[in-house]
Amino acid sequence: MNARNQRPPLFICLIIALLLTGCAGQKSLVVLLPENGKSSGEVTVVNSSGSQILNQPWQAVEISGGDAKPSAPVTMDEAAVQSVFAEVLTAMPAPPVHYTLYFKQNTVELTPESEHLLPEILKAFNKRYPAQLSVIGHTDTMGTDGYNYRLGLQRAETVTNMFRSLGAAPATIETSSHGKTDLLLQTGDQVPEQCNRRVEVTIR
Amino acid sequence: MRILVLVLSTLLATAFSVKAEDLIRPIGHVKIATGDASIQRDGRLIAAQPGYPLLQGDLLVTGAKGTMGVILRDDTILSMGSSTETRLEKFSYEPAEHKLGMVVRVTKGIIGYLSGRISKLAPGAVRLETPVATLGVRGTYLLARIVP
Repeated sequence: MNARNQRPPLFICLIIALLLTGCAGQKSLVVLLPENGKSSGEVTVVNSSGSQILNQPWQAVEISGGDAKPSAPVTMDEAAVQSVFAEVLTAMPAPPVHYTLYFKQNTVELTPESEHLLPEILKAFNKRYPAQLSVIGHTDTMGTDGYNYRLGLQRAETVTNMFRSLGAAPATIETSSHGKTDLLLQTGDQVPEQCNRRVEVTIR
Repeated sequence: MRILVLVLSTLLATAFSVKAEDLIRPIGHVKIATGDASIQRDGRLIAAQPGYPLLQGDLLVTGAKGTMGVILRDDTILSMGSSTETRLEKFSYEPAEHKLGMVVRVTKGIIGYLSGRISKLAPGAVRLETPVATLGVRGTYLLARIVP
């Protein structure tokens, strides 16, 4: 008898039912955001019934299901976007931090300015613990692919070893080389270029 | 003293060589995990923790009160709200070999996505697959709610 009395009144059941239908009635939604205040790239939303392109910040399309055509883009209010996506906005990790260290020609010796940067990088790395460190070596276009791959790797290893000896917290350190395939400043082949003799350090 | 140095350096070498010998290279790491957030890999369920490495094929799952934020090796940032399921289906980032591509499958829930290097180096090589539509991404920051 008691259990029967504890059953929720009919109107509460109705409200719950309405709320549930409300959720089920939610549509899929894609919103383009500005990146560092600027308009950011482009998203194409495609399914078997149609396609739409978003290329302005705060533009959004709705899709009511896999068989439904994506709606024409509308501009969404910033506050509305905030309220729908608050959870994911707070779960976005801080963007990675980048540093570039330069080397003297055909050596694994850092330029003095770059060497002075090391303590700062180390501080940023240890502050972000548990962080991942990526150290990628690059060269200019003097010499062969194979030679430059090895030189790039030696440069990266030099930097990694310096971090370790300076007391970097143990973590994943990825050391690799892009040789002369990923130039910062585009040049022809066999061109000495200070800007390209570098190690790129990324703290994630 | 010399023995101590020797022992220490051997210990350090072992600690680092374990990392170097990892047969499978992680494609990214968990940076933020709150509430019920886990990784499904080879039928196992692993609780997500900041710093935990991610592999191609991992299914990232959050419960009714969970959120998760990850950074991939090309600097792509992905975050997930509650009751969300996302599979890191394909990830290749080898600029020296011109191998660039990424497919993320969002089965349900809400996500934030900020492009990394793959999308910048190879526009059109990044796709977010969902049950309601495919999102082709060219260097961008987007949010999506997927209701299957």
